[in-house]
Amino acid sequence: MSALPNDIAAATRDAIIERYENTAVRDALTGARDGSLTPGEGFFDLLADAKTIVDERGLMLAGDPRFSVSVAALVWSDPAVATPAVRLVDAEQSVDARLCCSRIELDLEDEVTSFELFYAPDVDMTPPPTGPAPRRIAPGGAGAKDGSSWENAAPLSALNSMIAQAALAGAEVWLRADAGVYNQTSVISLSRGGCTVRGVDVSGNPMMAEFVGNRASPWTKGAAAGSEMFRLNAGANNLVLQYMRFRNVGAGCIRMREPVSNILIEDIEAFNVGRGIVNYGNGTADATVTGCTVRRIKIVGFSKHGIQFRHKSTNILIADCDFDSGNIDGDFITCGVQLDDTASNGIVRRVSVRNVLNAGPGSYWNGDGFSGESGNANWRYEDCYAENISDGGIDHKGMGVVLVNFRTKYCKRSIRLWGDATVINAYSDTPRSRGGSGSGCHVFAMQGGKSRVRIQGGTFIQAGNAAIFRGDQSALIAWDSAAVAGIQAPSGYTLYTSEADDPTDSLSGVWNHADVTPPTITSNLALSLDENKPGTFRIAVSENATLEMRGPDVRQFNIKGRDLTVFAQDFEKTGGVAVDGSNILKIEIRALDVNGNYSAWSPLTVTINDVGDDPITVAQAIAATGATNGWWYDLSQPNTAWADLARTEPAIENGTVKAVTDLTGFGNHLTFPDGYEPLLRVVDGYRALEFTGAVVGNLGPIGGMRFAQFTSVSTIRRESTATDGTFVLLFSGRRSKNAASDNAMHRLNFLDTSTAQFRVNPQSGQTASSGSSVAPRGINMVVSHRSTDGILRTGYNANGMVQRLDGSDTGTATYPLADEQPLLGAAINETGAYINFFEGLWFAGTFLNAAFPDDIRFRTERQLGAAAGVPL
Amino acid sequence: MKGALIEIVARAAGTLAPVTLRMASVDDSRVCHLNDTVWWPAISKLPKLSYDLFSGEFDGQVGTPASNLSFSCLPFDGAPALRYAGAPVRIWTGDVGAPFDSWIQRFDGRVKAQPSIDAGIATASIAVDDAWLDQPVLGTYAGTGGAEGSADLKGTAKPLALGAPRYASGVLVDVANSVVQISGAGPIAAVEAALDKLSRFPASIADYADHIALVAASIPAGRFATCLAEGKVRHGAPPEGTLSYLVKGDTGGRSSGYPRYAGELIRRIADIVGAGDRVDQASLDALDAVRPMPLSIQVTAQTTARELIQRIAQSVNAVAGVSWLGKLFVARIGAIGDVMATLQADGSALPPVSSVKQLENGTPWWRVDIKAQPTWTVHALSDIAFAAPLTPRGLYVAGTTYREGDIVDLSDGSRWLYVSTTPGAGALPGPAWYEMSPAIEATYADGTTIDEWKPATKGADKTSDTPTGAAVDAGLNEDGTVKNGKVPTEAVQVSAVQKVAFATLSATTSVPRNSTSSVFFFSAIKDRSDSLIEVLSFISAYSGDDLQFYARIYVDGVLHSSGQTQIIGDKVQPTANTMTAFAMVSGLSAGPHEYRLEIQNYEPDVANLVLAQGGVMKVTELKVY
Repeated sequence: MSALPNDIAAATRDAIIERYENTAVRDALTGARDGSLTPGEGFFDLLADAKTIVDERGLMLAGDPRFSVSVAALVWSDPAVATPAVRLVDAEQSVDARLCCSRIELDLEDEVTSFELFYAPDVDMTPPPTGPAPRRIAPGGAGAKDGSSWENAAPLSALNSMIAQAALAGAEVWLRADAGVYNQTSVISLSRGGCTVRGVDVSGNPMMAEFVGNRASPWTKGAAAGSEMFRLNAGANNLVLQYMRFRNVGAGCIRMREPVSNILIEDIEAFNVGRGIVNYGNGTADATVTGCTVRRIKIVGFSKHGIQFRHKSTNILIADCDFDSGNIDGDFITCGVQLDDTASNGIVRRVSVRNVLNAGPGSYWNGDGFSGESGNANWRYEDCYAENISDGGIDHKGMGVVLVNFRTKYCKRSIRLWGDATVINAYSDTPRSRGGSGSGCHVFAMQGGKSRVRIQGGTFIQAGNAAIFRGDQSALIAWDSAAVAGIQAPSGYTLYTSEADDPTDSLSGVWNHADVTPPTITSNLALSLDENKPGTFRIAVSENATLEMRGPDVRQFNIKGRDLTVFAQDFEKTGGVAVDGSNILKIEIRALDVNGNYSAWSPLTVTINDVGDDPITVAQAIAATGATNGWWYDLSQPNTAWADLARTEPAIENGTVKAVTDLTGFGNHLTFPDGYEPLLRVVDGYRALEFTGAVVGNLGPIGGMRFAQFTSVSTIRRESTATDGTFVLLFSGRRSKNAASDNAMHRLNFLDTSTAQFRVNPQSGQTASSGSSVAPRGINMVVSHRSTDGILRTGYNANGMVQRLDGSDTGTATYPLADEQPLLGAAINETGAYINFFEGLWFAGTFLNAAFPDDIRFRTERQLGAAAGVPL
Repeated sequence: MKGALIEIVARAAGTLAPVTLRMASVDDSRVCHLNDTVWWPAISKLPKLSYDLFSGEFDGQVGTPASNLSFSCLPFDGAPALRYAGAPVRIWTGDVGAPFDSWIQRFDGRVKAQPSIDAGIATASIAVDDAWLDQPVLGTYAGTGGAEGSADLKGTAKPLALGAPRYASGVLVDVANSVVQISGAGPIAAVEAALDKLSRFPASIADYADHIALVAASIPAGRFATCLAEGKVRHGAPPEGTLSYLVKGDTGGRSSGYPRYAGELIRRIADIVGAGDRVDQASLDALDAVRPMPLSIQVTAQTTARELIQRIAQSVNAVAGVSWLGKLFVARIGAIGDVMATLQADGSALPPVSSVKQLENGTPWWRVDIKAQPTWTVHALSDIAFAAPLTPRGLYVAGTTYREGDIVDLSDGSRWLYVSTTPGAGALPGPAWYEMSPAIEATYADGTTIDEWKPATKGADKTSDTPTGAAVDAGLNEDGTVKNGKVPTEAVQVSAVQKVAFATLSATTSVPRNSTSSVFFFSAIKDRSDSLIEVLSFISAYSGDDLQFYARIYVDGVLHSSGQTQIIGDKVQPTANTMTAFAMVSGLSAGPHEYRLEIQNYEPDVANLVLAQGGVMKVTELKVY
């Protein structure tokens, strides 16, 4: 047998040393003693206990004054009951404090008591509070339970009314802390404010009042999550909460659940909680906090959030906090300081976060020390620290982020920034992955188009030669010479690498603080673009720079880094493409270099070219694309909707439809099985099939649409009252009842008003055409898709089609089964049941086995859009 | 008026029969006949009673209250001839005229020696009885063979395992049968692991009731068995090197569990020396309530209860002492509960203060260390059975080839063992390395430690960034404390500062379309030439529609920062959107400078950009980092 490394480690040293240091004392008081040569004896099993003791000891040995006091009376005390203490008030000695007795002598003969006194580390130097009588709360309450005294203390459940009474009297609310814990397994909701609520001992001295909930301890995934403890609802404004300790609490020790303002929360401890101090509303309800200071919060063992601010909360100060998640995994996406929504304008100062771990569930491990989303603007982090984090020490996506003296150790990615951010004097020690995919680095300028990261000075330590700085698509990252000088890595390390698909997509380089030379735009800014599809233009600049724009047509543009995108335009749009009615879009752009120098504004024009996108006939489309199979239905054409499968009896308005004629001549007529027929409606003069949530049609025979490539166009109106969910319009999938999966060979569906999706086998991804109003309800619209490049387009007005591309969902469609049933209006699952019914109107559509060229595609969209009056 | 009563039970010479002397401090019949007993007014000098709790260092011993008292022998027949050494002494105090029931016993001790007697006045030294504290804690081997060890162990101490000592040692009490005793004061809770040259044996095959059964058991080589009742282990074969054990130690007679906390361990020591009734149990319980810290210690060399108790108490910043009534107590040093009196040096309150002096104090300590997780058998590398030789290689050097068994250090104090069987230049940390000991704490190149911030602790506001004066107003009293019902809004107005100046928008302000406005424009004096200037501005703007504007910071007319806010289309919120402008400026001379925030509204579709009341621009003079 061989000794284990952990036994070797433990048995070859005398003891582990815990240390107290005060360098300020060392520097200021010459001759201050160093006790490291003779460590004090300790028998602790837990290092944290030793740390507590040595810190306390260090404070006691810090050289604070000691006093000798003589009193002409006998003052008896019993140290077996409590360490003797007195309050000493002497202006001459400049002391008014409660002090501990190191020696007491009672001279019974002369009736004199002599004290030797010293400062204790946990002394509260402030004199006892004065003012209006506080309202008092104790565990279980006592006597009359009216809060007038400890003998008549109110129970915790009366906290809200005690706050109301205290606010009227200008008093505080005291939570007795030395009479047992508050066992509380349900939420205490507060809707009143205007006073201080704090834990105290029987004398009113600050003391942590402890609240114990019903969260499983220790908590693991699936165990009892536990209840929240305090909720701040509307009305709980101007409130101060102090000296509280929480154990075994669920989704919020203190949760600001409705809009409140002016909140101060300080001197709080929490152990084994889901969330500490958090701010989230009920469902989608607002819970904006305006003006909140949170400081001196210590949390050990949180599974979700230490602190969280979201909604539109503003003016936030988070200071002097210490959060240790304890590597509790299972409450997905754990974060020490989490910002969401548009919480903005805050400072995070001297906050440390440690041991955050999210091992999965996907291949990428999340879990951040500090995190902000794209709406969280103007946050400043000073002297913060993150250690042993499974993802980012900080991962902030918002704009206006400043990091000063931000320090990390053993985080996968020390600093991840997605917006405009300045990193001053960072200290990043050894990024390292705790597992999962993704490479580590010190500073990572992320994708998204807004990333603009400047690094000033700092220290970056690593043992390997991986890249120090990284940039992703469209990112700009720059560092100064001091930052490079601060790199501590073996020779041969990589200073920078790009993780963009195209390395030229990102910009990197040196930040020269002395640079006063403005950048120059060198591209030709007279641009042109064919109508109907968007275009992206990379603007050349004389140095690394990002772009800004202004001008009448800025709504038609988007900027990512130095790339300018023009949205798809319709040359025939009523009133013209541009604001001035012409077909030339006009804006001004300028470049901003790393050191903040601007180029002059330069006019930029984009001339929209007319392309042939007049309507098209079925025969023209087939001839132009070479399609050899598929279908084309158009209810605006006469004699296309039938009341019988034999297509002999024309369907009538508000009557059942059993079949629709395929106009291609390929014979793939649309038929409806019994019980799933639609009614023929005439809406605003346009004929349509009504899909009520129980309608499905067969698009030709089983296996009849097994095309390697195809283009589809549909004209529909989504039901205005449809809820969010999966609504399938086109589907070709498994028919067998024994199939293990209902994966489609191809499928077009809608999720909500902003997402249309087209999935093509075998790709696991999908074209997700996400964007505001991409898939509106209650409006006639056209949706089209081309399988070869994955471009999905939707449109419903004269602004033309919105175009989306997901490159992961292209290529040749494959059909491993021979029995796929192509459907209109629903999907089919492995049991043969129809699911995910489309709800709305269907006017026209085509599905042909050819990759339509753009011009033919546009004409087809226009042709079929006309079946419902869509003005493309 | 206060009085005192003293009772001494001396012994008659020769017969040693008890003779009780009762005396009072005042000549008042209400005292001298208290409780229907005669108390002679014989006390000539009352004692001084004292407690020495904390010397200012952590070097004290368990104190024994001692003093002197004097009394007249005249009222007592033959008093000078009595034998006083060891005589019990009790002292009461009370109010003259009050019934005896209300008098409080203050002292319960003994006369230490025969008193000096001069001119009819006896002066006696008295002290509480704490002789039990000087009893040896460890039992000794009789050397009679078997459970009591061989003859060469006669008189040597039996070890004592308290708590869960790590790598505890043992005494080989039966060489022939390889029986080792880990703790000899009674049953222990468990032997979690037995190790020979740090190589772990498989788990114990069985536990036996006593030494005889343990010796009689058949134990194969490479295995071991226990006799927890006697704190013993028997190995199936003689050891190859140093034996050590991971133990759950002395049970203190409990059927489940075992003493872990300081108070529990001290009580166990008192029980071992037969003085369990001499401790103040409430004080031990109180200590454990505030110090729920599991401790582990193995005692292998003889010691006294006094020494061992003090070591344990001191390790958790507590003091052990003996009360004037003779009970052992422990008290946490530095803990403040209720104060027993307020001492007003100006005499404005009782009790009357005669003098207040500041004492000379020792040089302060800037660094203090304490041990944790002690190892009771420290192994040399040569006494460890590892797959490869254990070789210290000094500081880790990147690129160097290391082999299994190599041990390196990092500058942060951490120590690492190369555990891969494949030699290589594995990066550290990495899968080829095992962290033997962590860094003491995160320390940065500038020497700053995380704990210097003291995050989440009282007084953590190290940089004193709570603003004072009228700047923040709102919710602060003049001393910086929070007014009732108010909260400071310093969130956007503070920093680690040399000096701060700022301006606030006092009213809603409009910036017309295609125009530029200086929203803030003020002068502030910079104190130092080597400091930095941080300009930070927060403004909230809205237009009812799109927002497009620039915010620019000028210092002395020079542009230092420019930012753009552009929110168009459906992203515009009906409420205000906030913009921050930030600039850090170095190289400015000491003296006055002008700071300006300029807003340019270039949104073409709305007439006015509206800046909300309360926007702020702050200029902070920062000390150089």
